Amino acid sequence: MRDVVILGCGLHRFGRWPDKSVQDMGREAIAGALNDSGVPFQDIQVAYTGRVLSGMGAGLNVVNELGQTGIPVVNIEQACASSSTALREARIAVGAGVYDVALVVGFEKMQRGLLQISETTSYGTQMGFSVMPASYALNERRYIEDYGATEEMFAQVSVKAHRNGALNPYAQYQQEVTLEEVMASRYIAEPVKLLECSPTTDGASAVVIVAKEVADRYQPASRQVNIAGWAAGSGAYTPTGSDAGDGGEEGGDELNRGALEQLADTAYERAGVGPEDVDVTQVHDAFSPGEIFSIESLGIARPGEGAAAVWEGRTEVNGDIPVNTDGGLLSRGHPIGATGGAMVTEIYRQLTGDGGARQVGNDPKVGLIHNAGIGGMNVLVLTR
Amino acid sequence: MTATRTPAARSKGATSALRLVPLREGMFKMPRSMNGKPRLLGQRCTSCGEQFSNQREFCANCCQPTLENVMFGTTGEITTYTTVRQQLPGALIEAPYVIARVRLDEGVSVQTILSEIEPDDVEIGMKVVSCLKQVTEDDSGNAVVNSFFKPANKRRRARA
Repeated sequence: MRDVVILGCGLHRFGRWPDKSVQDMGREAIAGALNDSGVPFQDIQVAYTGRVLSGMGAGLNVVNELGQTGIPVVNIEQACASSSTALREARIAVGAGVYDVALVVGFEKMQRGLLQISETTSYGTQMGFSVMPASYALNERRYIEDYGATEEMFAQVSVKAHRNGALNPYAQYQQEVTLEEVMASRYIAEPVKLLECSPTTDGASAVVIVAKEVADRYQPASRQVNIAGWAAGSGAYTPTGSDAGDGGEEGGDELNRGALEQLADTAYERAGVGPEDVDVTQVHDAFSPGEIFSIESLGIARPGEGAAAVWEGRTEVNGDIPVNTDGGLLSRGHPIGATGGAMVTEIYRQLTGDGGARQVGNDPKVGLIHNAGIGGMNVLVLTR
Repeated sequence: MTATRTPAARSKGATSALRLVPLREGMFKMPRSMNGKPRLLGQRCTSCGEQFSNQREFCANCCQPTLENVMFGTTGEITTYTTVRQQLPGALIEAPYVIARVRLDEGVSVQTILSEIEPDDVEIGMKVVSCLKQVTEDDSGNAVVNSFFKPANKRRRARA
């Protein structure tokens, strides 16, 4: 398969934008990505759009804002992993030689409150099981029992996230929070507290990718970031009594850690790197336990040591394994269909030295992305 | 949930005809009374031996259509739990409530709601037993019930 590179990214600031449509936000993100990449809209041959809540065919309405060129527009719904799935599909199509230039767009407008993950008449809703933070809380409680970690260690994920978000002009929350404030915020699903939950968010993201062989027409090599590794999966059944867990039969569980380990191995192998080579990482911290579980499954922290790694500052911008330098889902915000594209945007900025006040040191060359949703997860390895 | 709308059931004085209706069919064997212990219904694959706490046509583990129905016991152990303190819209259960993952003695894990215990008294490793609880009532006034779990050891509750 051909090499495929990212040439530019764009975001509409994440936040609450009651007066803006997904077209308004998507247009701004796409225009930003086109400007960043130097690729004119007329050169875009296909668009892959990730979104969940915007209704039938919404991707075309957003892409057409830039002009009606008649290109195929693919609408992808994969819950919180929609736009990383869009990027993966686009990367495969360009890698296969079907297209040279592709646009990836993610957008979302959300309601406040708990995400309704199943029908209101479903068994899971009636019994009160379909509460997203509850699945993270069940796993956090077990982790604390197994490894002697503390609630404070999990709360520190949110402190770190908001510190980074305060440096990101595209973040929903650009304000630091203290450990005391996180610990004092009310429980949603014990031990997960309000300030350990990602907010509901409006926003949009866009990424332009091209075949490596045409990239020099648009940008110098220093602006080209290779989509070197990718892996996607939905989590195989984990048999009763296996080390990997209990299978999560009831409701959607995006915390299939055994499956994530396998996907990470596949993505590393495709990219020809290992976890020790990773310079900067984006993980799916929909709730604060997400960062701790993910860095272990991705192999950048040892099993049982993720919480300590966060507590000791290793995942800070200036730590040895910086994670979610843009504030993550917790502070940057989580407009579910747009989140994967924002993760890609941050890694692209970091690898091209455009991280601004949150730039990681030592000239990063390898970035890692983990984006999970009900129904599937993606791991991406980006290299320069 | 099925609601029977017969005139007899709706009229006053028909209370003797009221019955226990499961929230969802096929989840447990209905005990004779509210005080009985519901036994959870599941499946066992005759090809690979894997057991399931839900109903399927094909085995999730080995993909064969070789599942037979089994009835599990009524006891197990809490492997983890969380107290939900935010009300989920549409839920029949009112927050706060405790969701627990319970490993049945047969080795199968189920997600359940704990009953007859304060959230602060719940512990990992606690032995629990199934019980029946009403979650709502149907149009005929029948009790719509589901299986919950409660502490197996009453002495522990008294001490807490």
